[in-house]
Amino acid sequence: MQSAGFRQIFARLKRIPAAFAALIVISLICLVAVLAALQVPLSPYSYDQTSTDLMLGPCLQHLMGTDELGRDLFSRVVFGSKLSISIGFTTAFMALVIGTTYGSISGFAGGKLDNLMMRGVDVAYALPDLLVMILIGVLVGRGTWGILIALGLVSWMGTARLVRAQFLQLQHEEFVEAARASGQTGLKIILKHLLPNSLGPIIVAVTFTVPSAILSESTLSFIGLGLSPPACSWGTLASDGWRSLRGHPHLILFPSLFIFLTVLAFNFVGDGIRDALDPRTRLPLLKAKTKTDEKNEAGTVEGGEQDEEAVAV
Amino acid sequence: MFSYVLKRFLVALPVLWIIATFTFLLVRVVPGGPFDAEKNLPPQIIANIKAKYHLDKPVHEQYFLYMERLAHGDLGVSYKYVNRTVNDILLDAFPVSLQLGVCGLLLAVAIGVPLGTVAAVNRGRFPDSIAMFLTTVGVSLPGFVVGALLILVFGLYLKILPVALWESSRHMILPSLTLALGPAAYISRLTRASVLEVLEKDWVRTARSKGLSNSATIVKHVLRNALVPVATVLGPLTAILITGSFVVEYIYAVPGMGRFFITAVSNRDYDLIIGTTLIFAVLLIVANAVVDIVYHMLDPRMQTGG
Repeated sequence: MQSAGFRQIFARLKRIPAAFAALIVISLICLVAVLAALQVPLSPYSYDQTSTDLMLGPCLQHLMGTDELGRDLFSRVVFGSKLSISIGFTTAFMALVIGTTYGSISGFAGGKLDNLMMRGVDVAYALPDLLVMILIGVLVGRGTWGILIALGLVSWMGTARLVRAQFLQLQHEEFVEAARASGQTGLKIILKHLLPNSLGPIIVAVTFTVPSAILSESTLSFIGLGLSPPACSWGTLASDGWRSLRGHPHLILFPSLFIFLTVLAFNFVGDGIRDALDPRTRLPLLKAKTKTDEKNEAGTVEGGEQDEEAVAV
Repeated sequence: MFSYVLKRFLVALPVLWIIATFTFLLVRVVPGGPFDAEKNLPPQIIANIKAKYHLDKPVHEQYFLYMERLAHGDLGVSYKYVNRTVNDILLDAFPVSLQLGVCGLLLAVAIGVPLGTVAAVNRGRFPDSIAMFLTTVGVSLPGFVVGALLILVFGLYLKILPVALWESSRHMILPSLTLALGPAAYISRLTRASVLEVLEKDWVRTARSKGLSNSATIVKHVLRNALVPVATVLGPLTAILITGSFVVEYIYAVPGMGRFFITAVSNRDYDLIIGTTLIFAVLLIVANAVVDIVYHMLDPRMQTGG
């Protein structure tokens, strides 16, 4: 049943062109990241020390130019995708686990505990992410694990709120009451009935966590309080490039471009999944296109708007 | 009303105390101190320096010393900016950051509200798609990329604007613009949703049916109501602006609190870390309280509930 759900979301997502294009972009970048773990055209670390190709601009041999040690920037960006992308996904996974657990307990328990737990989320939500991450970084250190812990601790609140809201809504549905009446335990009700029916919003929240984690990591690394060399992420590359902005802007522009494209693609997919899950969204039909369908399609390209007719249904 | 404000103030004090304690412990629990970088100094001199700043005492004694001074409004001394107390530094840095934040906020409103309104009025049509595309781009661009691009274009190629420091109003343009972009995207999405909601209200139809022009309806009847929810996000906006200010002050070398915070963290400048964190906390508490108080005054239903 769940896989059918995913298939349905995917089928609907395919009909939102911007989101689908973004999904392809993400797949490509992830593919690059996976391949980077296996092989890179020119090694990002080792370099020909006799080479005089230092600080080259983009050329045929070095698509994105070289840095101050003569290292090929293209290789470094490809290699950096591994860390940036995996930080994004790992954070999303942590947000999923922490947020879902927290939200489930809060939403299922209700009453005073719910109130208390949500107050906690409100406070955590009101804090500036970067400030909290920097302070956590002081405590846990600035390696990859330190960054991941800091990211995980600031990213779960959105998911928790969503799961809790979804639970509160579902609690009074008949199938939940039936499960309760038939004597199922709380845990079983959560796992079998409440969570599977909350999957949609959870997927949306998690999709938006990936780009914000990538942004946070690169920003932290950029201001020098995140990862530092020899770790190689898009953020550390941009940070390196910043120092030679005046003479060699390509060193910051190429890593930045990849951060931007990836984050943009994830945001589009997030918007797309949200629209695909919203039954009020009128999607363009795949087959038998008529004039009016094409017009509708134009309207749904970016926003996937709900419209009056559909709302009325 | 006065009692409500007083109550908020009394609640804020223990919150600040908790934050001060938490940050105090945070910076001291971690191995490494402010004078670790000076490896060339003989141990006796290091010990003398530590004794001068009471860093040789047990942590709980340091804590009571710090809290006693804090109660008198003294945030301590900086270990790196010699001869300057944290109060001095923050007195200089706070107005700078405040200026930057206010400029950024005003710009964000000036960009976000019209963009969101245009999007909502043309919902589902081309301007809406463009506006929503722009907001997605706005939230997808890291501050340092915007900063780098603006510096390249306006500072290095066109050479029409200064790209660093904080001296004249011309110095404020690029930092404020960089800071404004993220919040502008946020505000325009909010404005759009809010305007869409108000557009469906009866009074809008009434205004139109009595012959008011479209633009007059939007300005007089729609925006006035739609901006109330937008005004209530000042709290989250302050958080976004603080986060943004770290990056903006770093890239434009603006001598504000964000930059001092970053350098304080890398230098382990204990008192400066706690001091800046406390000021940020005060800012957030004030912003959220102002929103609540304004909301309190705007909505009569809130007044009986307390």
